[in-house]
Amino acid sequence: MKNFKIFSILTVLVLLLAACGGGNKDGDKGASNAADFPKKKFELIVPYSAGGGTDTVARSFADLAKDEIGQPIGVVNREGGGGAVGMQNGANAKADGYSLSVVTVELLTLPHTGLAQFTYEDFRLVSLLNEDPAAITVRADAPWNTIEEFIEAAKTQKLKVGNSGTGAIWHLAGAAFEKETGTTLNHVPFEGAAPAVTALLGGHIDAVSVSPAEVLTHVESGDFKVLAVMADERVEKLSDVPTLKEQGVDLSIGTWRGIAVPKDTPDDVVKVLEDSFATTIQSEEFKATLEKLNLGHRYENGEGFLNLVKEQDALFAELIPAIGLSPQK
Amino acid sequence: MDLLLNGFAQVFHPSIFILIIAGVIAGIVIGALPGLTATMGVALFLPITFGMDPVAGLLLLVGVYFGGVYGGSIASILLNTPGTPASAATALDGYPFTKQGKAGKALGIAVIAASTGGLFSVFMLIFISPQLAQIALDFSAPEMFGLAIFGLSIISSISGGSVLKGLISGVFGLVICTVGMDPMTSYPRFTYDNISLLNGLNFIPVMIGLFAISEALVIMEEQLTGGKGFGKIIASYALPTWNELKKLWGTILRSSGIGTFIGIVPGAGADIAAFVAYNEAKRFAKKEEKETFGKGNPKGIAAPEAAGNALTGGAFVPLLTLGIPGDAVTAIMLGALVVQGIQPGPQLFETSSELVYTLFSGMLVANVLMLIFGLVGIRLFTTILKVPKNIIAPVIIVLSVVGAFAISNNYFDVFTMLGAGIIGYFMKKFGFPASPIVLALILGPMAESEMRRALVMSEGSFMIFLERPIALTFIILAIVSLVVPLIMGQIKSKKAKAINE
Amino acid sequence: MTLANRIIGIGLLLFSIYVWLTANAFPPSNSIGPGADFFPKVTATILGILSVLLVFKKEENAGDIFTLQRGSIPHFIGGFISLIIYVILVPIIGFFISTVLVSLFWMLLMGIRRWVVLVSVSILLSVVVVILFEYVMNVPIPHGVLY
Repeated sequence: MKNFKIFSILTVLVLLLAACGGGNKDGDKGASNAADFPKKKFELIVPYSAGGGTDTVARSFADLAKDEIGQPIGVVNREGGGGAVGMQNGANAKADGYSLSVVTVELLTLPHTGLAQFTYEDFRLVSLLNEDPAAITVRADAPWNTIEEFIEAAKTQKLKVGNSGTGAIWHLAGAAFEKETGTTLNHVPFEGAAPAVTALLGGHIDAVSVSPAEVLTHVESGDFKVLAVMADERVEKLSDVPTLKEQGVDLSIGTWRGIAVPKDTPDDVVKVLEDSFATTIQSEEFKATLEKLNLGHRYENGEGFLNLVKEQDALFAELIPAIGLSPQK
Repeated sequence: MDLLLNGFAQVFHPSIFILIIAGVIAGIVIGALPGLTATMGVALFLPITFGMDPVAGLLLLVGVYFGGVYGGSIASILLNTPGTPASAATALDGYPFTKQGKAGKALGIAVIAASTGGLFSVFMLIFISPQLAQIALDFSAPEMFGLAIFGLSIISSISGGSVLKGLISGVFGLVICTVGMDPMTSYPRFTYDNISLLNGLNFIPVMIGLFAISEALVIMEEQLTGGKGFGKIIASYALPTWNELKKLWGTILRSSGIGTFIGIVPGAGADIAAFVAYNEAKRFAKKEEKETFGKGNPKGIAAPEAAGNALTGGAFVPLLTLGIPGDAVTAIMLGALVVQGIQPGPQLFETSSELVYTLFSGMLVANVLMLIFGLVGIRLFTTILKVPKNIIAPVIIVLSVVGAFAISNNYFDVFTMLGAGIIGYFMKKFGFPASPIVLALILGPMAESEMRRALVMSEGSFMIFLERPIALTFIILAIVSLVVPLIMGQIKSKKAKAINE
Repeated sequence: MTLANRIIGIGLLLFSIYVWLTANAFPPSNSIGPGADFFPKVTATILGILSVLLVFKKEENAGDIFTLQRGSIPHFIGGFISLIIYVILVPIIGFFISTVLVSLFWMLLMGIRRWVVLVSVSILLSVVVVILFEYVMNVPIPHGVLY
């Protein structure tokens, strides 16, 4: 009798749940063609954990893009291996246009460090979402006021520069800076950019080589000053901070995020996605979201994105072995 | 004070009040399910809040956060299957209570301790957060290493029957957590070219396996033996009496302090707070009382619950005053704040004081709601004990699989969980406690990376650990708490032998 | 218990030797301070020492380790193996069907014989979990060819 009671409670529960949730699962797995594309829900793989920076960008993008493309976009976080697990998953996904991936600069750095089997050629790049340069940030009370003073100081003493992990983009930026300026830095790896910023705030290290987005709050509160950004152009929110190029150091390095699909996705389907995403990414709402997150905005279509990736891939192909991070055999 | 009253007025606005209620309930449910932690709950709810008014969205997340931290203890007390890592500490004394038929008391103590801890930490946050924020800045690699080592020293006190077996479990956990990319050089260790192993074994699936899957196997064994010698569990709703609670206030307050402090330290979460508080409760207990820890001591429930929930307010201290998250959940909260156009930091209290105080009032309300739901829900929660165990066992297995998969949508984690479950079953059989492994998996990576980071900072000099007072204090405490129980154990067994002879 | 302890101790000792030797083969790092091999070596050494202590430790027999009677051993092994098959089967044929099967089988093993309970509980469990996770909380569950 007792079992029967549990049974009936469960039945009611199921019926209730089924009534409010069921019925919107689309099981259609047919081949797609551009005419009726898209006709079902998209899946957007984010190779990092829910709640992080990349995830937030991806979720706001998915939220805005669904109206433009006419189908919902479900965000799936597949984290692990510093992005390797999710991107590998994305490259192996079904090439029908419904499996989208967020790709980041790690798409280029992971293969060169020997931590991933894929390369950017396993993807068909659709659109670039954003770009953020690296920057050299120090405490506001630090004795260096310009990047030249910092470089001079770094030549005589070993300054402690925090980054987001060995082989991660901000470490590569720091190492590239070291190489270009002929200095010797003491790179201190942290688990992500946030703890590095905390350590700088506490005065335990001398500088960080992370992006302006990570430090902007503390710049505004007067705790930090940014000495230089490693970009071609100045950053909007830090318009008085020079670029390294202006200071005669030819170095542009940073992170970016974009949307990609598996490489065998049909051309006409990619075209539909590219056109639709172009409108979303260039919309004021999306720009405003990036603005709020202190992230830089940059749109490129598939071709422009591919050019950017090729250019950067050449940089990393040279840089990563030079700092001893290529796979040891 | 006016600001706070004004905040309350906002919080009791029906549209907001309902969201807090929904958040707390959702949090409790999510926390109680294996694998779904408070961190994940908040991440799940985050996108929903994007479209909301800042106050409403943040308070929903606060509700999920607080409810989730507490919710883990329900499954932990009733079924010995901790829903969150922090509640693995609660299981140590909570489950024995249930086995003795006092589930209601255990749940009552848990929720009273949890909400007291939560309230304590929110008051700290409201009144002295600028003073406390400095703690967050004083903690860098050497101090974090000290804290991690101190946390690891607890292994000997949560070992249960055999200290040697406890230590073996713990050190085995430490070995296991070196799988994955080396935190300093990113060299892949013991990964056998499997990308799923690059980040190491995900410790939540390991925990689910060690506790939940092994419990399901134990239930099956008990069922097949016909429940012989195990005794049927009688569920009692009886709440703890006032006299019983009176004895716990000291423990609850001390644990709340510990929890708040650990909350402020960036990168240390509810799990660490719960285990440290458990250890301190045992350390402060009277000699004859020490024996009863692990066998159903109410202080063993109150301490981790109070500390785990006191962590929540503490974690907000550096978040709101400095813009630095105090734990994994507040790291997501930082994202939520930023999306809403609120920049946390020293200027926040001036630029958006109204919002801040509404947030504070909402936190106090969320803790009170948690207490109410927790007490009212005891009758509901304990009905789970009336479900026949031969139905519970498959439910545990199924939820474990879904929970392990949900962490990062990587099926590899489910295999990890299965492996840990099988090992966990045999560990139970041969008297090896599982909690030291969980503790080692939480603290091992922290100990290793912080030690080596400190040495990178000092360019190789070990003096950095001796020159910094906080780090040195923790290291000394660690040595004391590791060595003293061992010596005491030796003396005790010698005495016992002498008596026997 | 003493014999079991000895076997476990020797197993752990071999494991720690393996870990130590593997770590010893890690390439030297170019960073300051201890390298990638440091922590595995230290922990493996401690584990090795502890497992030797375990081998030589005498422990009183605390009753039988396994409480199963001879007749129910096949049942238990069946449950054990079905759990492993379940975990392997989920990504192949999907969560829904495999969950129905494993819960049915486990309940059967543990002596539930009323078919109403068996069928309803196993189907309901699967349905409730799918709806709760996938639709209410939006947490994906593993799918295979048969949903």
